[in-house]
Parts: sequence; C-alpha cells; structure tokens
Amino acid sequence: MYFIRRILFAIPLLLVISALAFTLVHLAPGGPFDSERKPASPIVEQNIKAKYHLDEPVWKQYGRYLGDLLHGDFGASLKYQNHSINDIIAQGLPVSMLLGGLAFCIAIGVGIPLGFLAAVRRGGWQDYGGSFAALLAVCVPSFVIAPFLILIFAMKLKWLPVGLWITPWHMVLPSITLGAYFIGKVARILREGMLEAAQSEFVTAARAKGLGETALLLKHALRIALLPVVSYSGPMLADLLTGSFVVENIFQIPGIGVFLVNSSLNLDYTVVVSLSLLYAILLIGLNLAVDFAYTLMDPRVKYE
Amino acid sequence: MSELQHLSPGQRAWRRFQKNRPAMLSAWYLVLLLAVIVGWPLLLKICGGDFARMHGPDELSDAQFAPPSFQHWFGTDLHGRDLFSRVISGAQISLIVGIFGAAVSLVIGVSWGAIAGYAGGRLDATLMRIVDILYSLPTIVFVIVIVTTFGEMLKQSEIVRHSAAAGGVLRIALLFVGLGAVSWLTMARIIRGQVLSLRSRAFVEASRTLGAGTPRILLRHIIPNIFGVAITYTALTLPAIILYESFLSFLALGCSPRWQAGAR
Repeated sequence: MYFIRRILFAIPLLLVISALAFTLVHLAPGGPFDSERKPASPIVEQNIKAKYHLDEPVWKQYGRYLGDLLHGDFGASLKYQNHSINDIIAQGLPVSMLLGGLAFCIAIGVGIPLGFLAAVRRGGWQDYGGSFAALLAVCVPSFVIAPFLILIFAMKLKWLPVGLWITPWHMVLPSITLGAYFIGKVARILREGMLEAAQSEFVTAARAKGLGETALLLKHALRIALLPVVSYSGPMLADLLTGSFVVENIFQIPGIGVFLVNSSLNLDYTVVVSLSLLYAILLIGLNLAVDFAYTLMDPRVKYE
Repeated sequence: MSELQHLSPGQRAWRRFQKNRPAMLSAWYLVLLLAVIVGWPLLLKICGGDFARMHGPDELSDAQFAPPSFQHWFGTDLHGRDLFSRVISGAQISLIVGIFGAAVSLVIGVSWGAIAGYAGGRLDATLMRIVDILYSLPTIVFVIVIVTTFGEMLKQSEIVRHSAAAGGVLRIALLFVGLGAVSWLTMARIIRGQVLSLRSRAFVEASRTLGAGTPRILLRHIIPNIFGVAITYTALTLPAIILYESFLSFLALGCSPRWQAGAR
C-alpha cells in the first residue's frame, strides 16, 4: 500500500520537475540558435523560431511539450537538426546504461571486499592500505585517471584499445575509470557500517552463543552493514546509468552523458528537459526499489 | 578530574584533539599546505625581478615541456610556464571556491534543515518536498544554467567592463554560489533528521517548561548539538566541491588564471 502511494505521488513530482527544468532553461539568457551564423534576415530568424514554436509564451510551449509527451514523443532537438529526442535517447541510453552497469558492478565487486577487509583487519596494514586506496579513488578526478589508464594499458602495453565502443575489450578502461570513484565511496561506507555493526548488541549476543568469528562477520554483521551501501546505490546507479560526460568524452563513447552537458551549454531546451526527466524517473524508481529492498533485508524496517 | 572541571567543553575538545596523533599530523599538514599556497605568491612579489619572471604562473618562456629540475620543481608546460607556480595558483582558486562553497552549503543547509525539523507539520513537508524536487534534477544542468546565466550577466555588467580584476573576483564568487546552491541538499536532510530527534529530548522539554522561547531553544540547545554532525558533513562537502569545480574547469566553465589576469 505504501509503495503504491509512493508511485502515485511520483507523477505530480515528475510534473513539477519537468516544469522547473523548463523554466530554468528558458530563464537563461540567449537561445539555442545564438551561436549559429547570423541569419540572412530577421524574417529567417522569425521563421526558425516559429518552426520550433519558440515565439509562443513559455507556458504554451510547456503545454505543447507535455501534450507530445503523452503520445510518447519527447519532441525534436533544436540543436541536432532532424534528430528527434526519441532517436537520441534510443541510440545513447543503451550505451550509457551498459557502461554505467559495468561500472556499478566494478564499484560493488571491488568496493565491498575492500571495505570488508579494512573493517575486519581494523588498524592493520589491510585497513590503512584499503582506506588509502579508497581515499585515492575518491580524490582523483576521472579526467586524470582516464589518461593514466590509456597511457599504461593502451599506449605502452597495447593490451586494450584507446577509445571507441565496439567490442567488450573497449569497455574495460571506461568502466574502470567510471567505477573508480564509486569503489572508494562504497568501500568507505561499508567499512563504517561494519565497524558500527560489530559493536551492536545482536553481534555480541551471537558471539556469546559461541558462533565462529567468520560466520559472525559474514552472516550477521555484513548483512546490516550492507544497508547503507544499498541506500547509497540508488542515487549512485541513477548517476551511472544516465552517463558521464567526462568518460564518454575522453573515450569517444556515443552515450547520453555528452548530450546532457552539451545541450545544457547550448540551451537545447527540449533535450535538457527530456534528459532531466529521464534522470528523475530513474532516480525516483531506484530510490523506491532501494526502500523496497530495505524491507526485505532488515525486518525491523516497516513502512506504513 | 579536578583539573578538568575548570575547562569549558571547547577546551576539553581541544585537549582531546591534541592527544590524537593522526589528527594533529593532518592539522599540521593542512597548515603547511596553506602556508605554501599563501606564501609562494608573496615570495614571488617580494623577490621580483628575474626570479618572478622565471617562476610567475603566467610568464612564458622558451623552455617547453622541461622535465622537473632544480629551477622548475614540477617542470614546465606547453608555453614554458613554471608548473609548480601554476599548481599553486590553481590551488588558491580551488581552496577559495571549496571553502566558500562549503560555507554557503553549511549556512543554507543548516538553517533549512533546522527550520524544517523544528517547525514540523506542513512547513516541514513543504521544505522537504522542495529538497526532494531539487534532488531529482541533474546537478550538472542546474550548475551549468546558473553559471552561464549569471556569467552572461556579469559580462554585460558595468563593473566588469571597467575593471577586469573585479570580474575575476566576481567570477569566483559566482562559482561558489553555484556550487554551494547544489550541495546543501544532503546537509539539510541530515540536519533535519538530527533536529527531529533532538526536539523531543528531555533537556529541550525542560528548557521549554522553564519558559524559553523558540529562538533561545534553537540557539542554545539545538544548534550546539547538531554542530558536530554539521562540521563532519562540511568536511566531506569541501573536497566534493573542489572536485566539482575541477569538472567545471574541464568544461571550460571554471576559472582560469587567464580570466583573473583579465582577458575577456
């Protein structure tokens, strides 16, 4: 019941978000055609504006946009001419989602063992080494990691291609670059969670009953320590799946992240609003999934 | 014990901090870093002459791509500029943007969260729905629109036309307003949660029974108690803002030394 109400509540939320994004981009000075060559005459400019209905008041444009959206049509891009936004999303989103999904797997697959090890060997070299690696991964920006990886694995060792998105081999370096930051985050969150769980009463109780240390950590402590990681992975996955400008730009990957940034810079109104909406849908959906997963993982959590 | 009784909570915290070796080491490291960042440009100015011409962050020379040496600790770049100086001058901007951006997010986040948590009811719901909505908007769109909008206004304003230096300062101010404006959301959520649990605690109730008004309770009891959480989260926000600023620079929306020097 609670979740049905949440889903119903998401609809007005999405409406407000789209309206906000719409007003935001329209408030910005300039327009999508400012960087073009000056049109031959004011009449030509007028015609271009009329074609995309930019001469109408903003609320009317918004109404038209929503109307098209109801028919499953995101409208036309103002900047990438003759491309509908449906095309852009259909081409870019699967690529970005694959890249983001791989990065997510790397972040979880490396981050959780790293954080677990650091917490279990607290104060030992594993803790310092792991925490230092996590800190490094969080601090170094991806546009520094990417050239480094390219230099080593593509230029010197020639194991992997430099860029593009063709075979699975092309996916290795971008996924690592994108995942690195989140490896660090996940490892730190899990370490904190483990340390906290290790002090809680149910762990002491289990230990008092004579449960072995390994079973204790894996079965009892880890299960609770994973909760903060799960709640972090909702927004993290939404971020990853909608693409990353830096990684897509450096590796020349035809994803959606480049579009989001470029269209915000170009004030490509319809593309910005559509991609923002896409991000919001993903985020709301994933947060819902996270809360649902919570009820499964921790029986103490109840929503009403 | 008898000695401790004369100390205020602040002094006790300071004692504890001094006993913690990693904390003291980090503190000294930060002080040293700050000294280098502030001191290096001063040194350049004081020495002047050949030394400044050799090491100034904007001084061109024929020594392209020189490897690190005694003269150029980090080597030189494409235009023969000293990389050490460029790193320092970049660090200045990052630090300023980071500190002020974190301060903006601290002020907005704490007041927003404290008001929502303390007021409760409809006001709480409204304030937190606004946070939810802003959360669901991709940050990058928000930042780009803010920075380009105000950047465009800046370019056309009178002050920038007259003085390029003022333009540089305003440009940095713009960056931390933009970055602070998107990073207060998590802070507001955390603070609200804290205030919500503090509001019904016994000492707050006691203070209210004794006739304390809302402002007094907020200032005397709530704010001091959420201070620890707020500081911890600010410490996490600061590097995040610096990282974000570097990303904006990657998009050419950030702040370059050339901008400061006054090229329009």
